[in-house]
Amino acid sequence: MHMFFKNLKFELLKLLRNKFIIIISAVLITVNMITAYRLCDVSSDEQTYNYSVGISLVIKDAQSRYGAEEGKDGFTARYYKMIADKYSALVTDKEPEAVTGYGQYLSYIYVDLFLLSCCAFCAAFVFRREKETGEMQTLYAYKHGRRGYAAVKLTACAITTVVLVLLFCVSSFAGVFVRGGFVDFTGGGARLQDLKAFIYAPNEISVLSAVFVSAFYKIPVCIALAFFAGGASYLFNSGALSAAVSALFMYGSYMLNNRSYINKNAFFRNCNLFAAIRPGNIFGELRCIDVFGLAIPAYVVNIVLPLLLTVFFGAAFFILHLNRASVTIRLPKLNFKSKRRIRQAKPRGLFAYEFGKIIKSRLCVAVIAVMLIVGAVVSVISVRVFPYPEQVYKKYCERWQGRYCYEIEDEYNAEAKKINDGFEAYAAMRFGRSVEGIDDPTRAADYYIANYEGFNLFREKYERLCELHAQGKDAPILFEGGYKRFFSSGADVFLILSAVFLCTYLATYDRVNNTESVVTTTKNGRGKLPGIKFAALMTVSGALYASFTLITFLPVLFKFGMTLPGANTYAVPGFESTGGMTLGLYVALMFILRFIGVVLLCLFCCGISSLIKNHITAMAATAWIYLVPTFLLKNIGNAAARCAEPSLLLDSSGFMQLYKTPAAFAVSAVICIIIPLIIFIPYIKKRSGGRRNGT
Amino acid sequence: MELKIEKVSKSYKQNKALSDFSLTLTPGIYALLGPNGSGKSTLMNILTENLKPDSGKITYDGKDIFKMGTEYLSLLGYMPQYPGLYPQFTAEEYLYYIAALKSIKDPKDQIDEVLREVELDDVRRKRTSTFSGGMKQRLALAQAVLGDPKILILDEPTAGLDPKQRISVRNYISRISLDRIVLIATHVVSDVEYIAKTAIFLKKGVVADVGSPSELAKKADGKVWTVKCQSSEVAYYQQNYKVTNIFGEEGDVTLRILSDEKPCEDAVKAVPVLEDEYINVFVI
Repeated sequence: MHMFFKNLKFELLKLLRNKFIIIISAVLITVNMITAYRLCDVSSDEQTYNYSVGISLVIKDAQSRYGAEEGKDGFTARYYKMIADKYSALVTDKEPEAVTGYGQYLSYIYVDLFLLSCCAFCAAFVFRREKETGEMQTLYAYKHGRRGYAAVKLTACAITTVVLVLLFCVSSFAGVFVRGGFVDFTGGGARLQDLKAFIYAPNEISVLSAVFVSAFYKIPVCIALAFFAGGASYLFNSGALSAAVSALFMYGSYMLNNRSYINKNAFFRNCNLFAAIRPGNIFGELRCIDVFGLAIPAYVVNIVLPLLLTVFFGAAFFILHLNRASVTIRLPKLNFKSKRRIRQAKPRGLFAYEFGKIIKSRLCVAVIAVMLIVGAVVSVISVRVFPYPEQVYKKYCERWQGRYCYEIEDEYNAEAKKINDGFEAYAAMRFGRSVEGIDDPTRAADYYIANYEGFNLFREKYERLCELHAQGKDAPILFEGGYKRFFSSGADVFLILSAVFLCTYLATYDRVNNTESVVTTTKNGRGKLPGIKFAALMTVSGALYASFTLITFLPVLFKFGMTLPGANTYAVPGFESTGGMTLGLYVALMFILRFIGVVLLCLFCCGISSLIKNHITAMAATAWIYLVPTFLLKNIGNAAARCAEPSLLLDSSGFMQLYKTPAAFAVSAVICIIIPLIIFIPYIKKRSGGRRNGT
Repeated sequence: MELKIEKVSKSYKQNKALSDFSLTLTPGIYALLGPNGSGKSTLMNILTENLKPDSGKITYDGKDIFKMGTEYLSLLGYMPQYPGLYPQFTAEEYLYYIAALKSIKDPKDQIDEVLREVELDDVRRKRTSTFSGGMKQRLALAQAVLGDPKILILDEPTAGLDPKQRISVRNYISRISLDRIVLIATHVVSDVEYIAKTAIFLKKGVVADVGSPSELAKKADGKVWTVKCQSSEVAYYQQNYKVTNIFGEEGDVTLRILSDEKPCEDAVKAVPVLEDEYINVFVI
């Protein structure tokens, strides 16, 4: 036992001395604190409570549900009554302001996701360290290197996760405290918008208590994920692969929780990380879930399931370690390679060798192949031509998909009013009557003509949903193209990441393989090689983009010809909004824009790769720097500002930004070209003639 | 052909890796000997232009190497301490690639020859990822000598080789050193004792001693002793003298001791080798 604690101390020391873990934890805590600070409402005047959006909706929802449940002696109904009684007097007529802009990113969904990622990252570090440093052989030869090692690792991982969650929750409290909201709920002071469950809590509970109940709720699920991520990282020899497996686990969980076409079943909705990490079921939606015929309270599922998973993943790690399990994913060898091996090598140009570095890598070939297959799939399933009303109908489906709520109802009513106004304007103009109360009758009439049929298609579905809702049946509004939409919108990011992967692979190739010192002492290794490498990068990523663009558009081009106008086409990214532009011209312009985008991408990759040795780190850094502006600028109202993102030229939706706003071209040219050039300077300095001045 | 290093200094923050290092190299083998952190790799990196010195000058036939550009690089052959290879390339492809980087026209004959010399001819079409440590080391040596470089810089060229390969590589280096400058950095004194023209002892960035291996070995003359004793006495000798070797057999132990004075009555003088002087200089 003494040895166990001694080893545990060293494990924790390893973690504490890792600067990445310290930095990522600090960022998590800061972001969470800011989020709590921002989302916490503090009211000074009891008569004019201005509840935040979340709380107002909860109150409205509670009132409505209580109305629906009245007369029944249900468990849920009692709670709704309590909420309605407690808060209805406080709700004012003032409509809550919608959260827009950057505020959207400061949400508990994002920080919860961040927390889960941090837990997975720390666990991967704990479990993988010995494998990466090559100490596993030595460790395995020692007395405590087997069962003792596994126990210490699991304990260290659990302790780290608990500490991280506690720090996270304390930072939530700090955010509320700084805002001046350290009071009881009954005092009408602090309200944690997204901890909406606590509005159902007894009056006596304070923010501090609420935060720590939240911690209690988060700990099992975080440990379960940490053990899973740790086990995966231990099992797979590739760090990137284990990260991908953990991400897939999290994403699967997210899909279970959020995708309306899967989560019709309440059990599924509750048995996943994202349902469990948020304490919604403790006080709030205290309903039972049908688990194989048994009525189990939702919070039990949320707590017990992670605990079961923790035990399962912990035991799995023990078994893996004791059996020295290790999985190396090796891609199949291609036949033509074995034939080529017996052929005698011939002298070739440097470009052929640089190009060969990518083509000979099975991983790179696999990435290219997967990308092209995705391109083909996206092209086949998403590129369709719809009749005009159906397009509008889909627009409404997309806009309001999800579960019925009052926000949707308000928006729906506003839209119905707009259509009705449009009809009035249209009718008045048609019959020569005067139009009253409508500012711009022509515009209103145009809107009616454009949207009437699509809206009516949607209206039928919507009214059916309202009926179901009145019966207490929860039916989501479905947009039938869920997976298709995921593919078409995700393909751009996937494509950028693939190109970044290939570019950083080649740019860091010499450093990763420790041949840089040899290469830079040769005649062509400084002056000529950077240019040749850049040309190879351009060729590979350019070919990838050209193939992908062709695969995406060829089916449409073949089916409808080059002259198809954009106005009646749905799901060719960006094209449907171009109006009179033909498909042929659109494809040609996409090629030009993407070519410029590829040049910029290569500049980025070379610049960043010259500073970072490790391929995966270089890839992550490039992707991060490349995609962050997209994320940040997404909610900027100014179109020209939105064009200041380097990935825009590779993104199909970017085309419309540039097409609609002439000024955007200038912004793109200045920012998107100057920034990569600045980043490219270290590469040029380092590779062509510049000499290191010591490290 | 002369490579002249004049008062070259290099520091990493507070640590001085090289301090006013001066040396003139002419064709032949130079052995750079010194413990870890003595500045050997720094010197090699400066000579290969992978590092820039803080001060000092290096000239090749009177021309500053940092101003010569590719003219100097085309004279160089370099084998780093931990050579990396491209795992997707075969040995032959790798050498063709290096030949392209070195601008060697029609490299086939040269590649055939060096592969034969480093005994990799039979595995020339195998991927380097399948090579053992020794094979990788020999391929790295092959790429360094490719293109007939006038200045050959080898960092630990015999590390990881078995005795037979060690001798083979040693002899190969010796053979090609007649018309070029070869600088070898190593910890293994015996590897360079019989082939080096000059041995340089580098200590904390300064030259501690320089001369031919035999001259340096002579400096230990009269200081090397062989002592036969009981195993219980070994600790005593280790505490009070520099013991360079311990050989035990059936309870009796033979010690090789470095000492200005005779360590005991039974001590017998031994013939010094370069390693004795190395210990004398570097072990306090």
